Amino acid sequence: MTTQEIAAPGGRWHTLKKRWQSASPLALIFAAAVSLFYLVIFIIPFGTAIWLSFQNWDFITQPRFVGLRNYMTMFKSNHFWQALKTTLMFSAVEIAVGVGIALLLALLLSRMQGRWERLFMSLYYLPYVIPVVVSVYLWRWLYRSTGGAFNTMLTGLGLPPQPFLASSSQALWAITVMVIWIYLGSAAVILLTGIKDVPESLYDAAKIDGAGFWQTFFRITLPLIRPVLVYQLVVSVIGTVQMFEPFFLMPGPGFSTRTLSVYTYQLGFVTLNLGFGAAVSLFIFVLLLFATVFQLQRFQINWEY
Amino acid sequence: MSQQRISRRSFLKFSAGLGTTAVLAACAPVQPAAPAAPAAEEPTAAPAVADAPTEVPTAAPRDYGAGETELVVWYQDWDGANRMMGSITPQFTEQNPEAKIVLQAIGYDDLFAKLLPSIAAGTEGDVLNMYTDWVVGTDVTQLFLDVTDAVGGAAKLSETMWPAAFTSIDVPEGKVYYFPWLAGIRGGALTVNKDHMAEQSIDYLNLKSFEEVIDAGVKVTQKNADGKITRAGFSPRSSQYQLLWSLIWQLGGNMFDKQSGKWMHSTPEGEQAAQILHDIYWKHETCDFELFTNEFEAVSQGLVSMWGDGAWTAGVQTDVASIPADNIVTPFLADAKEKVIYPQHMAGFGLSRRLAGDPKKIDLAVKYAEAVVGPDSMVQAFDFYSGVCMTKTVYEDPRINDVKYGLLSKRVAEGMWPFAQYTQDHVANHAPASTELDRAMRKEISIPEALANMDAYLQEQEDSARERIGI
Repeated sequence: MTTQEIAAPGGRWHTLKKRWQSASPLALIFAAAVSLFYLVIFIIPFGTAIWLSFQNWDFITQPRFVGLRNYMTMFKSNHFWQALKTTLMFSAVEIAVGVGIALLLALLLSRMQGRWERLFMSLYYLPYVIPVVVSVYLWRWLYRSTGGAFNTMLTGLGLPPQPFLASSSQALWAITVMVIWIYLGSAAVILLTGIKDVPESLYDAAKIDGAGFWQTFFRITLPLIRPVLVYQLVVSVIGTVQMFEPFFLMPGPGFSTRTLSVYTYQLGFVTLNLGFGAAVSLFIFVLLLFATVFQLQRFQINWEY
Repeated sequence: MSQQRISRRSFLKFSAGLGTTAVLAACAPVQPAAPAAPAAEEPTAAPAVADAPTEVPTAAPRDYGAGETELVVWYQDWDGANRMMGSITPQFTEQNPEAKIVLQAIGYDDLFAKLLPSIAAGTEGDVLNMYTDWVVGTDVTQLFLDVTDAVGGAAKLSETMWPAAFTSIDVPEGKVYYFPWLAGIRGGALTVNKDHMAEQSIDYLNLKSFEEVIDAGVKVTQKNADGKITRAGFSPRSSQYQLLWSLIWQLGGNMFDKQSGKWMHSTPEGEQAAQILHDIYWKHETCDFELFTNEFEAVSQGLVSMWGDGAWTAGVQTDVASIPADNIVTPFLADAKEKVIYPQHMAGFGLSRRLAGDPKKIDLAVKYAEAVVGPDSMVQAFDFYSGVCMTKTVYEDPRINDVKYGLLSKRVAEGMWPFAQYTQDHVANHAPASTELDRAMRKEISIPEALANMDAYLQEQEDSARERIGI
């Protein structure tokens, strides 16, 4: 399409009409199917959520328009700020520690060959394949205050037993450790793919120039896997902010592990205040949108090699 | 069309964008939606919790009878209910050959999540199992069919059931919208480990007051050399919120005024009641917050001697975990001004409003619901279920003596129901208020602060629900 075509009166419409007439019917059917799918699974629910956030509704009674009250209540609510703080703390620590360890793991695996690499990769990937519910129940047993595996080990080493999930100050971090364990293999696989994509010739050249392991890592590997790393960070931010099952199935005392996603679920489906729940879910949407756009714009660098 | 190579950057950008879009799409609440995963147990003593720790996949529907009038029955999928429904339904279809009953067992959390959205969409079953606290946040008259006339009036139903059974939800006076079924009565009953009681020769059946319960708890509590509790003599962890309400009433106070819709835990009686509970942890030291995460699991491990998780736990702990357990009605305070007990929620059956235009189906559905909550069905339930029902005639039936938990259930039901009282509030989710109380018990915040937080939260929910319902 040229600039003249767009600028000319009726040019755009003419072009579109021409394209429509020359388009393959099969292509149009495929495009329509995808558009319909997108409309049904995203546009309509999203629009409904926006509408709902201005209502007081419980599924059964007539929705009542309440203007911006749900948003105002949300920003005034201690419960909301507490859930946001918990979510951000969890997200920051999980991503920093999880991606950090995954990167180290990917580096180690990249130095292995053949079946050893496959064996270790499979082992680390295994928790990701196990259903989260199963992992949660396993870790709940490990974390038991009395008779749990971790406390048995601690006591065996002469260390004092810990309350873990029974403690307001430890529960969130106990869950964070479990989540890191679950997603470590997945993150490592993605980063390993990036590391393996770095041309061997660059490492050879660095070796000739006398670069050590860390120099090679910081000067060659890290810059060149940056697009993959950014991708991993983006999906990690989205995944951690929206994470639900571990917090729902393995809650700590009080509000210590209530994240925004659990809070939203409780508002909508337990409290029967769907409008308020929708307002909080839209806040999560905006939060993730900004986080994603910021990360993509700030950290994305394109390398041609 | 020009041929362009996709760069790695473009591909990653596209993947990130696509992934972002897909995941963000999940932000919007799609209705009806099921929860991602079930919560079968809860350490923070939230009131809305499964009365049976079963988590079985939703079973395929089972059909009984070949009549032309079909009734689809939704009920909570747990072993006891499956046995009861599987036993009473063939009898019912035999006596009513015009009926065809389709039993649809649905897990507690799934049933909870889908009940209201399904009713809103008109896709619910005809006979619906529910818990009273699931529906208090909305207008019950728009949820279930008014069956007052079909059962011959509320007065007639009250002849066979304890009146408290009909006061759990705020409904128009004299109207019947559900058939009361079973109640776990968290906090209304205490369950004891009989072996632990025997160790200290405690006659738990004759504990005269709540204070005596605490004393008994002190006696059976075990500590190690460092003074750390290794066995909790009396744990209010799962029932403290329900106990708080009973204690406030017994002290002569009130925490909710139905007429004005005002919540008021922040009263001298509220503080006194919370202090009694607080002292159990910090003065009498019959329980702490480190011995276990989940009380139900801890009971199974023999770590708790007395608890209030619900009368149903006696049967489950005895049969599944080999913990010899028994129930007592939670005794009143020694100087109680009012003899009142708050028994949390109850399970019941409502009829779909879709049946309104079909008198034949209504008649059959009412008969079926009456059969389910009647003696033939309920008596056998007490062979494995140690909770209580609200049907007096069940306990008058001589067969109650022959089933495993029959007399245990009878003792608690007859001792508790005459004193049972409900708030008739409209708060669907008490968990945040319960959590505030728990924080005070843990000394994270003060008692007055917790009570004020509870009132603020509950008031907001009450006002919001009243606005929806139009009260």
